[in-house]
Amino acid sequence: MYLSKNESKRRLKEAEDARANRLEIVSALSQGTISKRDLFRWGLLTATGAILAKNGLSPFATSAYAQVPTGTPPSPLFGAKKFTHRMPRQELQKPIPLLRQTNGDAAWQVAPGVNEPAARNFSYHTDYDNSGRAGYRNPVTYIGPMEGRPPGPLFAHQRWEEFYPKVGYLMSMGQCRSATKFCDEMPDQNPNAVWSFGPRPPGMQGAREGRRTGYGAPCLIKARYGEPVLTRIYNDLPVDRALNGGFGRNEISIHFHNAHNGAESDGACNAYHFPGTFYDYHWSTALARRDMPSVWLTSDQNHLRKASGPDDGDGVVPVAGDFRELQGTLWLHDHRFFFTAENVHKGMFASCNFYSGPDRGSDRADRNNINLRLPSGNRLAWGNIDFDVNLAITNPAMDKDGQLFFDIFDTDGFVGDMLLVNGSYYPYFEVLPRRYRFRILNAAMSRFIKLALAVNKSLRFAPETPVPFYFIANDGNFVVSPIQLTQLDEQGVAERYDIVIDFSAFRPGDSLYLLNLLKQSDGRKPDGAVSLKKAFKGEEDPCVGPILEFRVVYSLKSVDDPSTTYTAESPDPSVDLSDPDWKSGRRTLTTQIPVVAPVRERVIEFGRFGDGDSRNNPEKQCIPDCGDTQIFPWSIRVNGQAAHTLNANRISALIPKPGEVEHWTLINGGGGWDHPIHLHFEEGVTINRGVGTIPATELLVRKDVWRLRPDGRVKFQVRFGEFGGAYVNHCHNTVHEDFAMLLRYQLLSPPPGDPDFAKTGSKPHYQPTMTPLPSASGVTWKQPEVLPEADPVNSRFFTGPVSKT
Amino acid sequence: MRINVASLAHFWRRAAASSWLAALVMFVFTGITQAAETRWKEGYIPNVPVVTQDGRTLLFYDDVMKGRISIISFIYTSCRDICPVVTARLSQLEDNLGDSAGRDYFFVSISIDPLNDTPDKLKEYSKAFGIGSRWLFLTGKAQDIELIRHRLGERSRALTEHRNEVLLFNDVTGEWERNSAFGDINVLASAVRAMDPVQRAALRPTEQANAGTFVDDPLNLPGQALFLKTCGGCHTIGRGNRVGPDLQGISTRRSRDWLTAYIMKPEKMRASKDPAALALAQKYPEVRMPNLGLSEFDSSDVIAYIEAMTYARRADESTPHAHHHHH
Repeated sequence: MYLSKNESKRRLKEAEDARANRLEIVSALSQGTISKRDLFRWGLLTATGAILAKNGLSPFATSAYAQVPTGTPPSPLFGAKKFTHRMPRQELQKPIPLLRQTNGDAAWQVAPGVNEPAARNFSYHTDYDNSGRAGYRNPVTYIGPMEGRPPGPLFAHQRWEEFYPKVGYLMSMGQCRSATKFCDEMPDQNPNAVWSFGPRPPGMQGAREGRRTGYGAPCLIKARYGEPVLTRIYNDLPVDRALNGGFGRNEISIHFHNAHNGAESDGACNAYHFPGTFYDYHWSTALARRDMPSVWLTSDQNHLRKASGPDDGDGVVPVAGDFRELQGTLWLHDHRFFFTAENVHKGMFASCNFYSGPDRGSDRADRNNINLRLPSGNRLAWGNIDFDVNLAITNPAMDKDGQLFFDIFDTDGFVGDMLLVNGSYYPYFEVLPRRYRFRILNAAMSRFIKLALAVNKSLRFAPETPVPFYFIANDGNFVVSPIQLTQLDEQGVAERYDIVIDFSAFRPGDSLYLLNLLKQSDGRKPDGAVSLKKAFKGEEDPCVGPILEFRVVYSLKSVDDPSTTYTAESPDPSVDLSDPDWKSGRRTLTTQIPVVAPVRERVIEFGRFGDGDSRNNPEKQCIPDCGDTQIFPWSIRVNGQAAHTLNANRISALIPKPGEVEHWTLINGGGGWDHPIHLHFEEGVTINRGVGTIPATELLVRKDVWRLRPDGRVKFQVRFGEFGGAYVNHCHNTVHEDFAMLLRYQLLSPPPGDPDFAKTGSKPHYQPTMTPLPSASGVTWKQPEVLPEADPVNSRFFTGPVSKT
Repeated sequence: MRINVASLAHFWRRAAASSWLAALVMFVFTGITQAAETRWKEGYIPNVPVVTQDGRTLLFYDDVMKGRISIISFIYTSCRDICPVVTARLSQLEDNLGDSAGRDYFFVSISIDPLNDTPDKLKEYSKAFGIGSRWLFLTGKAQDIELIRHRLGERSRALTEHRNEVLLFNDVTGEWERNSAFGDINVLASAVRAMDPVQRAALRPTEQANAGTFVDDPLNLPGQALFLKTCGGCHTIGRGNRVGPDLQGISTRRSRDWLTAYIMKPEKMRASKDPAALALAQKYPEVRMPNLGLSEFDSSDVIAYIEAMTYARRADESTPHAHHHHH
């Protein structure tokens, strides 16, 4: 929450003065230049010593009981002007080849003599344990194992041989590199103000005080189906967890949202690791329904070619699976239990695009003619980003020194007062008059956005004219037919919208704005969208209005191949989505997954009220409040059972058999709040929103995050498979998530005796598994509590053969 | 060469007197924790007067938070449902922490209903949980309490929406952490100990890593998790009355229908003047049986668990060898 700019000048001054006075007094007191006696004499200290409740010392001092005060003065801008800085591209990461060793390890192909431990199936924690905790130790602290991944078979990489990693990424989670800033006018961020990803030199030594390896801005990884990835993430943050610049925890767990990976590589909230250690994540690039050929769309004669990744020429590498489950725009972020909000706000996220046969990141026709040829470029065989641009939108606030700020006590959800695109303050981006794809990620913590496209200035079009574009993917999943819009739906935290904008009607010198229409003053829910006209004028909420300027230019240098320069006359071979064949449905981006009768229905209620008297007591006659209404906060109901507060050690839903179709209904029982609920690992086909309206961008569209809306609900169809272990379903308002608005579910893989047991190789996961408890000195294990509705032997909920032996 | 013990002692006495050397020694012995950069400590935490359950007036920062590791919860005594469970579970945490509770780690429960929660009321409430005066229950002037709870993130608009999480704070390092009283108490105790950098550096795994183990607890009956999480803070099975009555053999004392109804909707039973429910409310006046939102299935699971444990304890008691009672 912030004080808006329309707050009276006096009030703003008070708040800023209060902050400054407080700091001054505290520092003067600590340096001994003034005494409490002085304060008392000056009337700043009451007889009881209450210095802070005095007006002029506390931004909240004038607030009445139960009134919501605001605490954060507007971020200082240091004279920064909007749309004067070029938007940076997300820093593209370079893969390192991995080579299989005779012992099965995957060795990093780096310069000779560089000591980077090979990647292996079982965690080095296992080797550490086997060495009597003498070897394989954390090379920075010498305490605990060098790998934070829990030991033994439960956290061994599932289907390791089948998805043997071909390329690796060596990444660091580190303090921001020097000269990290949000724009030229703003001050450099302190090393511990921003913590983020960056590439890590092979064999680099960590340091107790941390390493400044973080970019301070989002990175981009390009991955393709059929080329499994091993991503090693080093924790290069300070060993002393108090050195956090006021917020954030130096213990990290990197969740790959929403890739189809084994639970050991999901980045579970309770599988975090400590400074000095690394964690190897196995990004299998598995295509969902790999193990279920029976559901593949065999009626499509190209289905086997579509289920593929791009090769280095103009062909594809087929992979097993259902092409309707292909994913595109994904991201990864920290998931440390109780600290996710602080850590993601601090910069711990990156983008990852998955490329496939149909969506190969090339606008040139391929040999099989299955490439959709979406705008991208063609200097590379796949993964061109010249005309395919990742936009990550964040919502920070700064303290008076211009350092990144987070109010760790804003428990409704912290809302900042500016929007950054790719870590840059209201930038501009130069485009050619041709088609572009944009992959838009809401990487804020609590703020929702609603984006619109309109003319800023043009020789042909009046300012503020809405500009149409095509919506092509929701959360990285194609819609069947492109949807023409001039405004997007609301976009909650973690949602990704892919759009195609055709700038060809514009001329060099023209300019367009991407605007945010959605007002929001606290973390509970947005306050509603304003009209385009109002957004152009500006609103009380400083985040409403233009956030990114598109400047149409005559020529641009390629980023895929810096030796190339494009001009406005360069041909654009990308697909034209305005062709009538798209509207008629003759051509489609993907094929609909049909909604069928489910094997099981689950109803999950994210609610604040239980079965107490709260709903039956409208009179509220008790003074000051009725006592009989307090229940578990953020409780979740499974199958109509009682509400339970959840923690990562509780298995409250369980998927007993891979491949079974389930229908899940998520209900917002919490009244007037809105929650973006995220299901890990699998996407759901959105069926309906109860009596609520459902936009075309959601109806029957695959998603992994759903805004429940105040008092709303959403129903979707989901099917699980290929991997096993513990995953979660949770609120992605990362502040709410930290308050246990989270449900653990356990995926069971085929049991011994099942024909698929040997095939899947997810062997230990045919039964509920132990919960890891990380510590700096190693992982211990805890028996999970299995709720009745999650117990596979409980016939009330599970019929038919189950795998418990 | 012989070591002159006297001069060595003299050296250490001088060393202790020398501030830089003392600082160095401190530095080495405190696990190399530097001053925190955090803004959320002195100067942020209101130093307003608060009143304890014993009627003492303290300054919230200077006398309660300063220099300490605190386990902070927000309560109000008229809360009939979930907050007593939080306090009950925190009292289990206090037991778990043993002697270090009140010495190294300080429990602080702040009433968010200061108009009604007088020191006397807080005293009675704390006694109901068997809590001594080392654990502070605080009330105060409404505006002071409002300031404290706002600053510490308890910003709910209504009492009944208040937060049930636990805040952990180390004033020396300036570290804050949120946690839940509904997780595993041992895990919570480790998180509390880890608030102390010295403890953190000394922490070692207490159990052998037993990776590869499945969930295979022979006592993992359906009602066990529910009992431990929602009932065990206040009730024992055969270990005496705690906040509420000992439940051993409960199903021989009450009818199953009554038990089910009372577990599910205790407030309805009291409202309908059920004699047994009223008698319980009278016997345990400070903390009434709360509505835990349990369903019929849940309550039958819980009853089954209590019956199984009752049976197990009785079998245990009737087998003298089990306790090696040789005279």
